[in-house]
Amino acid sequence: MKAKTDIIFYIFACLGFGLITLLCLYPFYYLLIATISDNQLVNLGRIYILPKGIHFDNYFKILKLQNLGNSFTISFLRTVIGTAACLSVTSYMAYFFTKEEMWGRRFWHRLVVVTMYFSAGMIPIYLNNRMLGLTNSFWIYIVPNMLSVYNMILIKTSIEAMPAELEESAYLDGAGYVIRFIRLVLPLQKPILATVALFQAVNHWNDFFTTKLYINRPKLYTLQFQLYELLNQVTSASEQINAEDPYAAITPLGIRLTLTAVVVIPIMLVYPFVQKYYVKGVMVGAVKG
Amino acid sequence: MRKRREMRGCVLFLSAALSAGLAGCGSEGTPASGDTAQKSLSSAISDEVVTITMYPADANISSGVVGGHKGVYFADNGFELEVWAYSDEKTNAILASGDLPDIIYVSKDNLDVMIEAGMLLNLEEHLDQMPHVLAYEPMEVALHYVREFRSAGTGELYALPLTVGDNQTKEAIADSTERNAVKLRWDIYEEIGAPEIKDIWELIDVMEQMLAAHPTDADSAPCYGTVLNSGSDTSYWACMVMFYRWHGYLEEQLPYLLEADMVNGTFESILSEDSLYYKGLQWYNEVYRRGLMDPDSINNDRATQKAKVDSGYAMVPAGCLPGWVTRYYEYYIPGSNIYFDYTSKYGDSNKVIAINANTENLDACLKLLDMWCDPDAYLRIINGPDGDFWYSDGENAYLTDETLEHLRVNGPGTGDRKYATGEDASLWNTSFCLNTGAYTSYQDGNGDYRILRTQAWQEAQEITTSNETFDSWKKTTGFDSWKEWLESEQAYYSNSPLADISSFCSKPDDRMQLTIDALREVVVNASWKMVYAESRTEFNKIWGQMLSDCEGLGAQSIMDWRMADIENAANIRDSLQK
Repeated sequence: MKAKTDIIFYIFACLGFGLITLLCLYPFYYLLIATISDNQLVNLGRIYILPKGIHFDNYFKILKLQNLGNSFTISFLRTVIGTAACLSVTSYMAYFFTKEEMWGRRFWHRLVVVTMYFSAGMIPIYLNNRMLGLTNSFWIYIVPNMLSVYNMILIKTSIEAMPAELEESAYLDGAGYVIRFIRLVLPLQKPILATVALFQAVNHWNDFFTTKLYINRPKLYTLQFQLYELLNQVTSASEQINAEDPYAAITPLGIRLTLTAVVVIPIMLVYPFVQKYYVKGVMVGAVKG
Repeated sequence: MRKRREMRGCVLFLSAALSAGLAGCGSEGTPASGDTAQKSLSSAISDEVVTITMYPADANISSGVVGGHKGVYFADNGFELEVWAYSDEKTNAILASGDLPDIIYVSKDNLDVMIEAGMLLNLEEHLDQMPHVLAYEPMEVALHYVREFRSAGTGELYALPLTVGDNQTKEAIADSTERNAVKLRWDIYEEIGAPEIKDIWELIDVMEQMLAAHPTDADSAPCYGTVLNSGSDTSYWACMVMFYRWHGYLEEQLPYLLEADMVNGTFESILSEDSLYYKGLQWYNEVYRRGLMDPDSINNDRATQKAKVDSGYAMVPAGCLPGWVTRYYEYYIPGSNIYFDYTSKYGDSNKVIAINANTENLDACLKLLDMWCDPDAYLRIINGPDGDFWYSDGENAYLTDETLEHLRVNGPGTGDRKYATGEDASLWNTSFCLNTGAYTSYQDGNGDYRILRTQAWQEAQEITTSNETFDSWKKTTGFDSWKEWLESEQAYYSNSPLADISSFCSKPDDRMQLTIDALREVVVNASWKMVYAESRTEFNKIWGQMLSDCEGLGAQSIMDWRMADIENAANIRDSLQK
């Protein structure tokens, strides 16, 4: 039998969290209704709760947008390949850092972790990547992101939580490092690997800065960059008060919101399927023993 | 088991949906062009066509290979133009690495460094390959300016100036002073009896009457006395722009807390109750307190304000958008002065266009720069090919019947117009070396030369101004054009002792810029608060706080520095003109 105070607390908690949930969900809801509402009403800021003048022309126009299919392909490929590459390299490195017999383990570990705190800055990194021939290449999306130090620490902590006897028994049976890593360690690290995969996939999908800085060829543009360009166009027009041309072409708000929706929806649809791994993975290294 | 099947079903559905979307996507190529345009471009590009890359002045122009009718025209001239996407970070990366494109729009902040590093081509020895640059008369003074002040002290020509010469408004019947005029929703103003407006405060009374007569539109959406927006706030509070322009002031020095009276040739601090800035804030606050302002103004971005104003929801456009539609017409308030100089003598004060010193396509680059100074090329690039929206008989140029009909139905602007190839018509938002008022080689059949923009041609203007509202305006005011009214009141000023000074002003150092940015935050925030103040007491309190905050940040030293810099700039300008 619940006490009265418990019931009151429960009600307030539901109301409070319900309100917070609404605040979080409303922008996505607005995004969807604005993309299917009359563009003029959207520009006038007259769409609030329900869509008005429902149409799907914005989505049809988006499909005709220059280079959209190609940029979707690039975004998809970089997300898949980039995530797989990052997982492979990061988990492999994490595994070796758990081995005490690794030569100079402490030194290499500290050297790697220091990079998490200090960065050379945008220009040296740009010059470095340019020297490696990565500018205007698809591999700029993959190579610099192959190692994530933060995720490496997460995976390392998770591997260290594994009983040592498991590996010892495999070692006694004649398994080498690679076999032990692939056949024994990796399968047991699924939760943390799924978490890292989700982090990396979202980072790859959302990233537009790499394209902005390193890519000049439209064939290598990502979907996010296409959106960024459209949005930036509007900002630039706003800043040029004196030079503003009354006939200047600015993409309507409805089209920009539609492209935003197209970019956001895929990752939102994927997320629920990996959420349970995310929750498990985040907690994996939290409790020892 | 069942749950797993459902999940797999969802995943399959998602994959199918994404694949279907991918399959339906447009192909890479020309922007919104029909197949015909793409084929034309492909056939036009032959082995002799080289690809030159360009880094634009800002993000206003889309990146990628320029296609459509522009691409065909470029290909006919021997090159294909590939535009790089603009961003501030990319600009820094390009400069640091030296990976310049063939053509680059350079900001004045970076110009000296690039010249000293040998990144830019010296154009002096190539001027004879750019005959249109030499032939364009206003360019002579602008080139002299660039040699003197945009050459890192070398006295040589490393870049060409932009938007040199007259603006198209010199031939405008309507909007002939652009933002620099009080405009009213004329049909409603007539509806309330067209009362005389004697000063800026009576304008509020008239605004109130207009709103009372027309509180909503046909769909019961509310109308407003005026609408502002916060999205245009950049280095100053943008809503002051039109209030300044109504009084013959300019806002160029607002980041330094100075206002420029262009008519009387003086600079004053805005941090004074005698300033026009203070008066403007009072005016906006009065409008708000009388319930005439769109309460959402502070949340509006530029696009929203433009949509509201262009749709006629504002009785008096204010802020920074004047309402470039045929609902709003100018009104002269007695005693006010309008300053409008449609001539840009030295070009854009912030940017120039240059060629990469290491370009491998020099001839094509020079061809492009020459094209940027060719009025006929501008006409072709911006308005489409001969025979589509306009046509010529070799000597004269005219608008096609379809264009005239489109103007009758839709007014100025391209609207949803398409070229014959199916390509969407949209303005290419980039600066050329010449301004929009330059004359082409074509005439109008009466011996007068055509200017670059077809919207400014006489027959186009006659159509776009041929409406009941403008006829009513002419009848009520007794004038045939706004400029005629201004000139009759001797209130039109096209020259000023302060003209072109900003072209010679210097940039503050990094430390000073930090102070200026902090002052900007204080002034912009306080300005909005003052607009929304519920009482005069609250207004004065916020004003006092703003003054105190500005004083604490060292506003006086900024103003003193800028005044000295302006004086120096004026001396340099005067010496250049001798």
